[in-house]
Amino acid sequence: MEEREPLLRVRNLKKHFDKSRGLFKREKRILTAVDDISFDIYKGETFGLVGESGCGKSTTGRTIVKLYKPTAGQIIFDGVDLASVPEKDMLPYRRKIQMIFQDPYASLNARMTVTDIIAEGIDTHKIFDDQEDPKQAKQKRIYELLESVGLKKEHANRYPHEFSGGQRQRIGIARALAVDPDLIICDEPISALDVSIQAQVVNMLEDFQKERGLTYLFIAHDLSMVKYISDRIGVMYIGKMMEIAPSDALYERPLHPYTKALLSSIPLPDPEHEDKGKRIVLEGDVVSPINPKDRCRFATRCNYSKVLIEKIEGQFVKALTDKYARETLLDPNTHELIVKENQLITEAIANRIEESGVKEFHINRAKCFTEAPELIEYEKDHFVACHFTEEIDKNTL
Amino acid sequence: MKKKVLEVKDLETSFFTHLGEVQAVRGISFDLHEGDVLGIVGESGSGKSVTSLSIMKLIEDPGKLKNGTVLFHEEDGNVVDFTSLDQREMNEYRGNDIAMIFQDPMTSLNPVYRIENQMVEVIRKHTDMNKEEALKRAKHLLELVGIPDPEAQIHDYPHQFSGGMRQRAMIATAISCNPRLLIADEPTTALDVTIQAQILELLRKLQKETKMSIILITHDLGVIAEVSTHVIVMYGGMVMEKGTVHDIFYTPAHPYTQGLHESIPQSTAKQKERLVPIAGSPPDLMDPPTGCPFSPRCPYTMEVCLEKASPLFAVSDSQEASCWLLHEDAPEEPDYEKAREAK
Repeated sequence: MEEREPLLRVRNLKKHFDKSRGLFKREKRILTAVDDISFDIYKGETFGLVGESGCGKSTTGRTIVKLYKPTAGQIIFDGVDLASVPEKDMLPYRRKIQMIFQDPYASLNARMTVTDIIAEGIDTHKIFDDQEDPKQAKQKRIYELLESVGLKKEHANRYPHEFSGGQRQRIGIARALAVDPDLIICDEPISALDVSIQAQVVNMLEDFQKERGLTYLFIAHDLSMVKYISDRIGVMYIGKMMEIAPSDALYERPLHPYTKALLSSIPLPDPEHEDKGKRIVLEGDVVSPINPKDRCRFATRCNYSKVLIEKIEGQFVKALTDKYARETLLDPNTHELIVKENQLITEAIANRIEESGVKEFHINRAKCFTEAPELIEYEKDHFVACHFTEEIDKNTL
Repeated sequence: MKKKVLEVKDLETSFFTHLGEVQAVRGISFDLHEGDVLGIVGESGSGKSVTSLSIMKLIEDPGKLKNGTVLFHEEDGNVVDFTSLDQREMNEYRGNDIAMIFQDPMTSLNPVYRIENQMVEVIRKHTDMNKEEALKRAKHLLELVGIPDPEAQIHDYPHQFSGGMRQRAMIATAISCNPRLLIADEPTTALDVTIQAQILELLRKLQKETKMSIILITHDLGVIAEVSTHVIVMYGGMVMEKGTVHDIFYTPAHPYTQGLHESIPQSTAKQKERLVPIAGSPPDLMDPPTGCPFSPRCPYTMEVCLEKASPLFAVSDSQEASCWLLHEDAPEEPDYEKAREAK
């Protein structure tokens, strides 16, 4: 952390998928999997990327290695913008950036032996070609790698199906290490493993980082493991970066309302923890990333994006008119719909709300629903994308 | 004293595959009382799901319930042994007295029927309500589990629901006949953490408001700590330890339970402590180790552990663990090195 030399700088990265439907794709549907995100990863650190399924964290990882072609933005690795490097010139960079995948069953070719799997990268990048005896050098390297990931020489000629999930993940790690990468993108590397095996793999990743000065982008949804392994963490929600902070700061003092809710949702393995019962339970579900509106993507679920309007005689109608309703209201007597969620309250509707006899009504906070917030450095190293960070932090909202 | 709901004794279930017998559950016993939430925790292959399927008599070929009794105590005190019932008799209890929810709500809801039809069908099968009454009850249940606007959403098909909503609809269907026991097999594993929090909150609420007992099966110690009152720790098809949630989390007696706690990051730790993994990997149930299933991975293995599985020893009034270290003749400082060599 001291040197703070970025190895990877991601700038305004976008990855959109065209999901248009209909004849001649007339119904335009753009899935904004990653939508304008920027972050740095410093040399030797572990940068954690968290978020719920569909938030774009895996797409981000895959776009960085250009398994997906970025829609826009820059991926500056060691001073070179990979986004503008043509595919035919990518080979040397592919060696520097390796990937470990979630599913140790799907990510190893079942028809190849362990030796072949690990050797593939060595061959592709012609690593030992300048050596006197490339074959022997390669074999030696493979044995060393197997040993370093806790497997044996005898395993070299076996096939993936002969191994357990944890052992397969070790093979995946050995494959990534074989070409001496600088950056490893770990895409949910422990999610498919049993609890007692997860710690084995995490410890191993940490040891390799220390020994070889590796940099990790660690993508996961297990928040307690991410906190444990990461130096800094980025929180994503529907394609947007919501907050970036050093791991301790993020867990001790989350600033974005989404991060607050996300962290409070972690089930703690401690039945009498002091934070029990302080859970922020979010309403509703994640909204679709297809054709998103120009607003904060978390606004519909955020507890801070709603404003309570209390009934004050003579003021109620005025306070509600031209605002957007946060809640659906039915007439208590006739059960007729008065206003729907997110609907514009006209004066006529406001009058009906008043007549319905409710004492208070929630409306949407206008800014959250009309403007997308930028990711801003609120405190040193602590970036937040929320219009009301300061107000929420100081409790003045 | 709370009334008993379920007594499982010496349950053994195996799968007879062409490669040989897979001993998924190897003799487990436990009691469940009214209003308790029993968490069964274990890794993949520990036998936790097979235990619940055995209770429901849902084991299909090549699986077979080899031994044991499952005594269900009805509301009026009548006791039935599920293992002695045939499938038709068992259907009387499924849905009415015991309901089950599964990990993946998409595969447990029928994709070609509206939520409405599926719920009404279940309610009408188990009660004598007419169509309108059943529909009203279904809407009420959806509201109870927090589906917004149930009036409209009940007409949707499962694919129109999000993962969290589907799981809510499953729970609503499962509790529609006020079962005495709800078995939830990894109910939140497929869900995101914020949605998981909503579902756990719902289970807690249901358990508080009704007298329903719950068996919650999961691999996540965090989920167990959130909702369970009692816990069983399973490994290699056997019970390693059981006790109250407090016992299991604050005074774990079995080396495996202790190992599990040490291999996850501690939420309270201010400083980063290195994780202590459990060495080795889970046992092969086709050829389980003789003796204690955990002995090949246990740091405290003694010679006896390799020969004979330990019975459950009482640790306190509420806690039991199957570990020879708790035997009265166990040496104060056993010679682990020697045993390790033997291993």
